Amino acid sequence: MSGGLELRGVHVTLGGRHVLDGVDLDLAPVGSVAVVGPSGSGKTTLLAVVAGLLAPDAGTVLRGGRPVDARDVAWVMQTTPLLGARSAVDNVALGALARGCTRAAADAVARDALDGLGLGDRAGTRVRRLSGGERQRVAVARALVQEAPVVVADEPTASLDAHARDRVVQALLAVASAGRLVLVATHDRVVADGCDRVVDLVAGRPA
Amino acid sequence: MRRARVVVLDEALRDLLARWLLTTLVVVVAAAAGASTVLLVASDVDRVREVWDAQVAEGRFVHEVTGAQGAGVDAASCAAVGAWQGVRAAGGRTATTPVRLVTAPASRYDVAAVTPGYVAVVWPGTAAPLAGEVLVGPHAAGSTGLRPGDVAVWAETSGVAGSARVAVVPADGTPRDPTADRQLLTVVPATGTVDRCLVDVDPDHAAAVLPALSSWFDGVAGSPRPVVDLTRAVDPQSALAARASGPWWALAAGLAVATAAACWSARRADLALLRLLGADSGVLTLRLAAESVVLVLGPALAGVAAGVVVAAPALGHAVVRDLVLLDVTRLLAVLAVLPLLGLALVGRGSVFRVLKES
Repeated sequence: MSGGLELRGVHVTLGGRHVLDGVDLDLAPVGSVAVVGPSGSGKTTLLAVVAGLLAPDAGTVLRGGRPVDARDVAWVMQTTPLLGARSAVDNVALGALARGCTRAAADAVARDALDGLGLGDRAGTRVRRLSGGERQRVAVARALVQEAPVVVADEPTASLDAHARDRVVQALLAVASAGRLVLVATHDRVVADGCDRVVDLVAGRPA
Repeated sequence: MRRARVVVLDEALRDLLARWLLTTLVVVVAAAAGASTVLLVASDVDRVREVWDAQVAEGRFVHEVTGAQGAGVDAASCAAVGAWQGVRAAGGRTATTPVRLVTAPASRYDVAAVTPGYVAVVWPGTAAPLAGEVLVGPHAAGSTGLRPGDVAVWAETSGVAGSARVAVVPADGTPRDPTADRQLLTVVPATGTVDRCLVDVDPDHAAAVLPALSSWFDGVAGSPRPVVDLTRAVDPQSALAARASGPWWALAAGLAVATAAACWSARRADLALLRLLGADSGVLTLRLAAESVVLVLGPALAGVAAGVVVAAPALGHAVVRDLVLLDVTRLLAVLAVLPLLGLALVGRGSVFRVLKES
């Protein structure tokens, strides 16, 4: 599976508890995948392992046959880390700067991405003044301009109202449509239903 | 590569500007640390230096050598000491004659014949009177009304009269030999004996000169001893070692470091975000170094510069300059390792955990 993700026998133990217990998973390089399951089932840990932020105790995570490079993965989290004191466009531009764009190019790309997610008029606003839904869309925009082939989203719609949730989901699905792999950990059935595939995680392994 | 560095520095500056209030706070603390280190150390050391200089002026390093059993000291030997390296001047009285001045016949004064180095010992920097001239001690001048340019006329108790032009009247009395304040001094060649040999020793050479002085007069005179009471003298080395400003540089550095560290800790998630976006430890170090320069090192240096301007008069003295330089160097050395501290504070640990906790 060229460019896709392959997880083989992934084990992760945290605090003496087997959070991931021999996960085997093949994911296509393009599309949207929802990871669902009860709290504590290992959804977030699975995403962290995929992103290379957490080394598994056993097993391998490969992308296109190679270990995952953290730069190939963009993150969107429940409380997505954003530079609160900086404007939305500055935050999004970070994603482009990280892949080597000039400042001018990064700003242009960031504005386009924000426009595409309906935040063009909020581009110059400091992130700390944006609503939760707007912040999540800023995070999605950053992931978009980062051009990382894999976007992992950890409960991106938690604590959002229905309207904000729909816009964030649309944004994530737009990323998948742009030719990336979007992996979403969620409790929200609406979000899962919108994805191409659903992986149900129970007690640390796909059901 | 260069462009990547420019981007990192540009981003660092943008972040600092975006958080201008926090930035200003850290900058002010760092500038205050730099300025206060200079000002406090300069003020503290200069105070010790002033006490020391006052003691030296009073005669802390003026020693007297008296002849055995009240006998005098060879005047030529005494004058020879004045030419030693590390001796500023040496001399003594060869004779003292009681007189009554025509302008103040009711009081008795002395006309003292002194060797050429004596005036320089008693009133450093005062020109010695030439032949036919006298130096009138300030107390004698005050009670007789004699001023430079006047002619002093006197009569010895034996009836012999004398006169001389008043060349010099020192402004202040001398603690080095208060008797001279009430005398008229005439300079004579260093022959015969002097009542005692006064030697003004350069403080920097005292350790070598004093033993040599003892040897020089060994067997013919007593040991050299200070002319002033040293029981209340301040030991400058102890005073400098115990100065209140001694630990200030460490305190100032601690305050600046703590403020910068608090600033970075508050942005732990921001820096973790940069790591998430692919910033490696080199990029983070460059970023923290840039922030250290803007937030702490630059302002601290500016504070030091401002302190130097304000404390310029005190810094004209070598001892003040040296100690200020030492403490400022210590302060800046601590501040220079701030990026490493920042890296340890915010550049380590699991990015995932930091972001989850933030």
